Amino acid sequence: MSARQCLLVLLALMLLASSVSLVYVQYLRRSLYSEYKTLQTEQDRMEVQWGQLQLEASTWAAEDRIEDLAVTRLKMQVPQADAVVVVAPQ
Amino acid sequence: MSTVLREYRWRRRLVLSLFILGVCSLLWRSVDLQVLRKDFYQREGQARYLRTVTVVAHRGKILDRNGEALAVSTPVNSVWANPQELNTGNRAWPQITRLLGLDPARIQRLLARHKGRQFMYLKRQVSPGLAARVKVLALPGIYLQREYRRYYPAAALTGQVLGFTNVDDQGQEGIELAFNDTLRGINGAEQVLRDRKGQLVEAVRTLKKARAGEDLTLSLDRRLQYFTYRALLKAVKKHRAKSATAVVLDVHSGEVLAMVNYPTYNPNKPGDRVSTRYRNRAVTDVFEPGSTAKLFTVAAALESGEFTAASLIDTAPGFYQVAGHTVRDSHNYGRINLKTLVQKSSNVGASKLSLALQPKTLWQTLTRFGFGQSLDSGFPGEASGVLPHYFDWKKINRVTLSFGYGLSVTTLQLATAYAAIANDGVIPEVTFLRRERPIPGVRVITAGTSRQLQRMLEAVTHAGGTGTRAAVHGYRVGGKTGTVRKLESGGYSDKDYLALFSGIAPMSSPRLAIVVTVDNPTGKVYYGGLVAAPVFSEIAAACLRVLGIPPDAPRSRPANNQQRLAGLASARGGAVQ
Repeated sequence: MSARQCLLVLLALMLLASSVSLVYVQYLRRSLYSEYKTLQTEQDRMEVQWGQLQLEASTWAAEDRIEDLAVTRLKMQVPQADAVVVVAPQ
Repeated sequence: MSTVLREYRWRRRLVLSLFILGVCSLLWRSVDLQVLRKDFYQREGQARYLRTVTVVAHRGKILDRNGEALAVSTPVNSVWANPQELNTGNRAWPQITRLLGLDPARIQRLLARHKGRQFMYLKRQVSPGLAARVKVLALPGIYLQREYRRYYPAAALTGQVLGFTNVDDQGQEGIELAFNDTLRGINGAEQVLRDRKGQLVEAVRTLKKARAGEDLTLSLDRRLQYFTYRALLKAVKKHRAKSATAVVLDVHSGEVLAMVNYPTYNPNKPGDRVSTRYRNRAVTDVFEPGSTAKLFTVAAALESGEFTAASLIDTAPGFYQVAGHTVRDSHNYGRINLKTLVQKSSNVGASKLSLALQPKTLWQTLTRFGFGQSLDSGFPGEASGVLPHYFDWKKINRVTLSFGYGLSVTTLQLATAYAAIANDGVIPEVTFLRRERPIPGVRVITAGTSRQLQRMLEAVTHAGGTGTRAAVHGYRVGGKTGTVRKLESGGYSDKDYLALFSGIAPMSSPRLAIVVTVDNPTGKVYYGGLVAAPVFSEIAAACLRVLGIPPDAPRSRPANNQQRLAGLASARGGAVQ
């Protein structure tokens, strides 16, 4: 084979490799995109859940409910002013 | 050989021409497909694999200053029907109307009217559980659509400040409206490739970028909001008042820490959305400040340099005639200095002081404190109140303005003006959003004058003052009472009053300005010192405790305190440092 023919074969092989890699990269791109979308949906779902949990926590921790529980179930009371000792930081 | 050829010559020509015809028709077909009808086929093809999808962006949350959720959007389903697909003869249909609580006759009429359409809401924003039950029935022509609904966990506590959104999650009132552009999410659109199973293969291009709504951190403190609400509720019940309003301001940063009006409304109940109930009266409604404005008359006098806190004014015999009207005090206080004037709330003293000043001096002082001007808080429907220009003042105006009649203010304006006195003469810029660091305000009076005014305010809560009931155990507080006769058509009312208390705390280093107004108390008492001052006391006590501000009043029994500490120490094995 002449040098010219060698070059042609080499180029042909390179072309083949390049086209195969193109197909591979395209495949990679699509699978990554699909994963990205799945994760985004997941993130969306978690954000919604976070909001709902915040709502729930907020409802359970409603001040009037806490006060009611403290007074009725735990028999707590706000200390009289003269029963409070203030410890000033040294 | 040639005979054979000759014999098949026609057949050969026929076959050849058929081939040519075939090739020609193929060529034509390809030209037809690729050139002539390219657009049509490309469009049809894309319609089968290209999809435009909405990228949903939801509305930002509203949080209080400590990160507690005050408004959260969460997905719900709306049920809609395609009237052309829906068969109301189906057995599942009555079940659906029952589940959704729809009137069958009414819905039939609606369906008939939307006959030509392909979309009609049956019910918007149903709970996820209900939506699931509708979905199970799987009636053709009934669909679910995901939407967002806003929930307000603090409900009535923050209702009037936050406002609400409409069914499309757009702000309609209050903070929701004022910061709608920050909060709202902007849905995006994306063109994607989808495979046969409906899975996304590839994003072709972004048609519109989605922008998620930003979270908003308010200056409000939910705990203070609660204590304020509770105090107002108690006062309205006790004094059978029409309504009550309170504002708590951080005097350094201008942050609104609490703002409550009672009665209020529950933003989670759409039926509650009546403007008389959801209006944030602390910002939108004005009133005459009455005696609480005397402090500004005194401020003008001190700033003019013609008076000091010790200057004497003769108020005997407790009333006098001016410009055809009689100005009255409840007692004859005789010759009093400015401090006593504030402490006793003398109308005669304040008006004589005003008449001794240039009209411009008083006007300038009141204007500097923000009266008659918008606070630019950005709150929708904010009222700016009215302060007539001194060019238009007659003698009687100079008299009435000195004790707070003839001008109008909002509760928030009054709180801001008192905040300036608490903040050593610098008026802070009011905000509903949390500030990381205070931004410098505008100086309205000298620090010296404001300290003198602070001492006068404190005297009001001491024995002999009009606001002794404002006292808070363990703290030094100060403030000014006000009892305002309300303006009716044809003059001032004899029985419709507004009880006011405007105060600051703690006096050793003021942090809070608190204004309480109680509208039309119909119980035995109606004076600001008896109705509004105890509410101030209750709110201030709770705020000071919750914010961890150390008590600054001298302890009445320091020895006892030491003993207690010693007792505690021994009980814990002497480990208290």
